Parts: sequence; structure tokens; C-alpha cells
Amino acid sequence: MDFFGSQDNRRKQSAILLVCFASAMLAMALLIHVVAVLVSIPVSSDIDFTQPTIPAIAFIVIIWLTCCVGCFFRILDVRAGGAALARRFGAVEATTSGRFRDEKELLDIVSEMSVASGCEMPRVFLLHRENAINAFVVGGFRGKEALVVSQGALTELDREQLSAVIAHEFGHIAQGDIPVNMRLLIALGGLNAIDEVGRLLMVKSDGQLVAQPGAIVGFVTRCIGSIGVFFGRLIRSAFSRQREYLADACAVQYTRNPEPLASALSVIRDQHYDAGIHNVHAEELTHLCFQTGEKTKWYDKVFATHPPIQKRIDTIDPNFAVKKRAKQRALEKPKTNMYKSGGGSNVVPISGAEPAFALGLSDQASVLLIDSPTCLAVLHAVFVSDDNAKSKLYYDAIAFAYNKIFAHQVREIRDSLYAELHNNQLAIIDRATEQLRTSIKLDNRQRLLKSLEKLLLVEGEFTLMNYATLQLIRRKLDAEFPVLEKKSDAEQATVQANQAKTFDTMGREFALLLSLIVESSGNQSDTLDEQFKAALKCYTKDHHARRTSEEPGIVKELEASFQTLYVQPRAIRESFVAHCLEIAQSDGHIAKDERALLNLFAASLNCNAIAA
Amino acid sequence: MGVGTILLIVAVLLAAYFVMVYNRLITHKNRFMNAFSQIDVQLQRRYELIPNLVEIASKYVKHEKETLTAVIEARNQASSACKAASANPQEGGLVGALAQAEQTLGNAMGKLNVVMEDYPELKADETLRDLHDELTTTENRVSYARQAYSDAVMRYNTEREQFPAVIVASTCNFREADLFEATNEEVHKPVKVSFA
Repeated sequence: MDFFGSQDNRRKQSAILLVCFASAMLAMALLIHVVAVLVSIPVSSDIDFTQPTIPAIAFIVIIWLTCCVGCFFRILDVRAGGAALARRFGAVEATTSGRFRDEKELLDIVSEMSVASGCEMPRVFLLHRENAINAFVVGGFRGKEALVVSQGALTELDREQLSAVIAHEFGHIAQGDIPVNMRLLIALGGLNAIDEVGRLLMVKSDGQLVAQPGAIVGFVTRCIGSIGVFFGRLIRSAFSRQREYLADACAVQYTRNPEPLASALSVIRDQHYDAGIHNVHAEELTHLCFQTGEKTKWYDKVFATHPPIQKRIDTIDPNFAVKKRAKQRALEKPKTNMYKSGGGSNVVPISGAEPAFALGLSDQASVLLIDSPTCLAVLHAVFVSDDNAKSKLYYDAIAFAYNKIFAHQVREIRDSLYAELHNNQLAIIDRATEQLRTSIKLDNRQRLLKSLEKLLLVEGEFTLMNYATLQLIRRKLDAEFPVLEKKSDAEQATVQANQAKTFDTMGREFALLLSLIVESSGNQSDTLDEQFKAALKCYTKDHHARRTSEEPGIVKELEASFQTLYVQPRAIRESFVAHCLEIAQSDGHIAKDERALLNLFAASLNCNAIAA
Repeated sequence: MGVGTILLIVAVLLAAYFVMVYNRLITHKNRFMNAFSQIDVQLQRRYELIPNLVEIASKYVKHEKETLTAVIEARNQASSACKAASANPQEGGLVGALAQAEQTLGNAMGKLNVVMEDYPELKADETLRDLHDELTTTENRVSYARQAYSDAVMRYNTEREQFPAVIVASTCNFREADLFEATNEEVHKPVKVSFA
């Protein structure tokens, strides 16, 4: 971002707003004058605006006095200086003695930023009990600033992000926002006082209206006060929003790097709870904070003291989202490379595996997976059921389809690699298919897959996970998908019909796929329902029940769904798979089942770009 | 109103404008001088820390004494260059010479770090770790101070070179300020102080 240009621009706009504020105050004075004269008509029966009668003058004086008294109390607050205000928030001064390491780091950062901005080092306070990420500066009239940082900011942000947040606060100090903010606070205090006195005049302590003349005077006073507070807040908020942008521009100037500030804001955006400070005094000081909670209604937006987070991020760095994604991908790259060297595959799996998910192969497996027959046996061993009766059926079927020696070999491999077949299935399949792809012809590979499918049917274990694994092997062996073959056959008519389908008519297919991906995260069924509903909303308004992988015939249905979705435009398919990836990642990691399903979806919908 | 009066008014206005521009230039000049003194303060802090670091290191490092002496020598040179430059930041070449000396010191520190990598017991030293933290934040402060200095110099130079001001600047001897940059390329390599 062009921070120098942006700073000039913001400064101009906030100057205009300050003029607005001053003229609003003048208009207020005029209004008070006119109203006072009008109110005094019943008493004096003489209307002359230039020479108000004595009751009118008395009224004006009373209002101005109230205003001054209100201001005076605020002035007392502000005069006490930033440190006293910070303590009123329950903040504790940070010390170098360093009970905590991050406290020392914070002080280091503050001193660095004070050098960068050329400002004096303020006193630093910590809000220990505040878990939201926030920071603000309070101050007296000249100097005496105190920087308050919440505990959440220390724990959630890394050093660079914290530096950016602190730099933003220093931007406020360097631009002289603190005295202006404090004066706004005082002016609003005065207007608030008028409003408050009007309320007291109108209503007795027991909540009843007082006798007529008093009530009218109170009502009028309150009107004046409320109008004043309304416009005061309006202009304060608009002014404050400009200053936030200005401070952001300054923060970028000091750190010379827009990325940490944008990412700190994105961390706040992605947090689940309100970003505002949770404190009894918070309302008065919202305009000082680093960021407040998001406002959604238009009238809230008018009074918001901070611009929406997304807008701030876009102003700081319009391409932040793209850069963040690229960075994440770059971070994930080493992992997949490791996988590549271990598995030796040219098909990169969906990245972001959980750390416990070992990607390399054990020595034993690496030694075994050298020749083609063993690889073949390993592929068969993958599908052996844990149920003894079923596995016997399976072995018998293998013996029938091939020969007894092969069945024995499968059983041996199954026994020796039992643990690895469970935990490291992907790597094993990878290695085995790598070997087979080069050593066996395409026809034979297709035959192999067909026989595997038949064997699974015999075994009675044609479950969703096994189906996913089978499809994975099919993809890795570069064998054609049955879906594709069928399409290329004489089913053009159905293809046409399917293509015409709108999103709503595909609701059932989407619902099925989404429920499977949601379910694979292994959460409680309540949360699953919730996630499923939220995800489905993106596709259709119709209601569909959440499906489970245990239902009979689910695999057939899934295949049918893939056929329907396969002929949709590539953009739709890709964004759907990307959405599934997001859902799987939403809890922070991709479990083994989720990974298998994602691979299946990506492969079946021909979106290899996303799988990679 | 005669011609004389008009001329007088024009002359007074011109003089007032001249004074205004002059004062603005002075403000900017003082700002960048102050920014430079900030670098100076941080560099001094760094020069104080380095001998401590070397002292602790010398307890453990037995063989590569010449690396330690190289660091101390470079530090002394940089320190004296810093004194010379801070006395008169506008004097041509002094800031550049300081940046050059800083570069040499940075290289020497880099070598020291490589040497220290071989001594695990040195890395485990508690005092050294604290010193390392302190040195890191001081390094950061130096770079932020340099950045602030560059900004101030940029503002000053922009002000100085703009049209009517350039006349005032040349008549009153406002010289162009140097950026904190070494003359050779090597300065752009970062200084590493990581022990971890």
C-alpha cells in the first residue's frame, strides 16, 4: 500500500470531520438558544431572539452549566493521565522483571516501535483477564500515554503480528489522535450530562413523571441532549474510522510490511467471540480500541467506530487472501515433498495431514514392496476384513480367482504388515501402485481392479471406505473410471438430461456427498447435523436429511451421484471439492477418513488440480 | 498608494515567505538529525552488548581466538565511525563510512555465531541467552531507527528540492542528507544473531 499517500488522504478527511464536529456544536448552541426562547413564551409572552427574556437566559445558562459540569468530570478523568485510566480498566503494568516471558517480549516490541515511530515510550499495561485480541492507548492531554494490551493479543499473535498491532497504536500516538480522542470524550461527556439532567428533571426517583412545567423543561432539555449526543457520536464515529485507516497506514510505514497487520486482523476476524473489550467502562472507550466487534445492521454501521475488518484488510493489502493461501500452500509443500520421496508417487495427495500420520514406509515394507507379485498381493491384503469369517471368504475367493499360493502370500503379508496396513495405508498403496503401473499393461490393470471389486463383493465388505480406497488405487494405476467408460458409451441422452439439471435438482447428490464428508470428521452427531446444515445451505434451499455411511447401498448411490455431478461444468465441480476440503480442514486437521474421502471426491469428479 | 508602497508590501511578503520556508527546512533538518541520533543511541547500546557477548564466549571458545579479536576490532572501528558520524551527520561520507564499518562488524558477528554453533554448552548458557534476546531486540531497534532516519531524510530532501524552497536551500546552505547506506553491495545482507 502507498502509506504516505494514504496518510495524507486520511488526514484531509479527518480535518473535514473535525470541522463538522465544531459546526455541529455551534448548531447545538443555536438550537439551545432558539428552544430556550420558545420555551419561555408561556412565561413572558414575548418572542425576541436577539434579546431573550430573563427566564430564557436562565434556561440557557442552566443548560450550559450542566454541559460544563459534565465536561469537568471527564476532564478530571483525563487529567489523571493514561496510567490512571488504564488501571480503571483493571490493567496491570508490565514490568521487565518478567514473571512471564511474553511480557518481556511485549516491552521489547514496544521499545522497538517507539524507535520506529520516533515517539516517546509509553507505559505499558496488560489486561490479564481479557482473552479477546485488542490493544488501545489512553492518555492525558500531553504525554502520559498508556498502552494497554490484552492477554489474548499476547497469546494468539506471533511476534510480527503483535509488532504490527503495537505499530498501529503508535500510529495513533504519532498522529496526535490521543488528545483529539480525549477531547471528543470530554465533549460527549458534556452532552451526555445535558441528557442525564433532562431525565432527572422529567422523572421522579420512583419513575413517575413530575408535575407539568418541570416535565416540559426536562423533556426539552433531554431532546437537546439526545440530539447532541446523536450527532456527536455520529461524527465521532466517522472521524474515528478515518483515524483507524490512518493508523493502519502508519503501522505499515513503521513495520514496512503490510502482511503481519493484515494477518493479525484476519486472526481477529476468524475468532469466534466478540473482539470488543469486555468491561464495564468499555462503551466510552470503544473508539480507542484496536478493533471492535463486527456490526451488521446499517444503523450500527453508522455508529461503528471502526471500519469492518475485511475492509481494513483490503485497504492494507488488497491481495492478502491470495497471498495467505499461497503461503499456506508453500508451508504444506515440504510435507508433500517428504511424502513424494517416501512414496515415490507423482500423484500428490491432498495436503495438510495430521502429524501423527506417518508418511514414510518402514524398512520391512520397503523391502517387501520391490517386485510386482508382492505389490499385487499387498493391494489385495489392504482389503482383508478384520472379521475372521469374512476374511476366510476373501482368502478362499482369492484362491479361487488366482491360486492357493497367492492367497497364502496375501495372508502372510497381511500378518506381517498388519499395523502398517492400518496406519499407513496411503503410503503403501502409493508404493505398490507405483511399481505396478510400470510393470503391468493397462488391460491387466483394469482386470485387476475388476477382480478386486468382485472380491470385495464376495467378502461383503463393499463399504464406503473400501470403495474410496479402491477408487484411489484405480486412479493411481491410471486405469479408466467406470463412470467415464459409461459416459463415453451410448448414454449421451442421459448426459444431456443431467447437464440441464440446476443446483436445486442436484440437492440430493450434494446432500449425500456433504453428509459423508461431514461425518468423516468423527464429531458428535449434533455437531455433524449443524455442520451439514450450514454446508448444504450453500447449495440448495430444500431440506435433506443427513445420510450416514452405514446405510445399505450407499456406495451405489454415491456412484450415481458422481455420475450426475461429473458432467457438470468444471468450475462447479472444483469449487465443490474445494468446499469439501474446507469443511474437512475446519477442525484444524484432516483425519485419515477425511483424506480418503477427499481423494475419492476429487478423483471421481475429475478435479485433480485441487487434489494436488 | 504609490509604487513604493506596493514594492514594500511585496518585499515584506517575500521576506515572510522566505522565513517560512527557511523555518520549515530547519524543522525537517532537525527531525532527521534527531532520527540519526536515535540510530546512534541504539548502535551505542549494541556496542556495549558485544564485548559482554565476546567475554562470555571466550570462556568456552578455546581455539578460534582470532574470530573473537576480529569482532572486537570491528566493533571498535564501528564505534569510532559512529562517534565521528554522530558529531556531524551532514558531513559527506561519514554516514556512509559508518554503514561500511557496521557491515564489517556484521560479518564478524556472523562468523562468531558460526563458531559458537560448535559449542553446545555455550548455547545453553543462561546469561548468554538473555544477552542474545537483548541483542536481537537491539538489532531490531537499529533497523527501525534506520528506517525512521530514511523516512526523515526523504521528507527533508523532498522539501529541500521542491521549487521555491530549493532557492532558499541553496542560498542558506542546506545540503542534501545522506541515506544510511554503505557504498558497496554487501550491506544488504542481513546480520544474523541466532543461536537457536
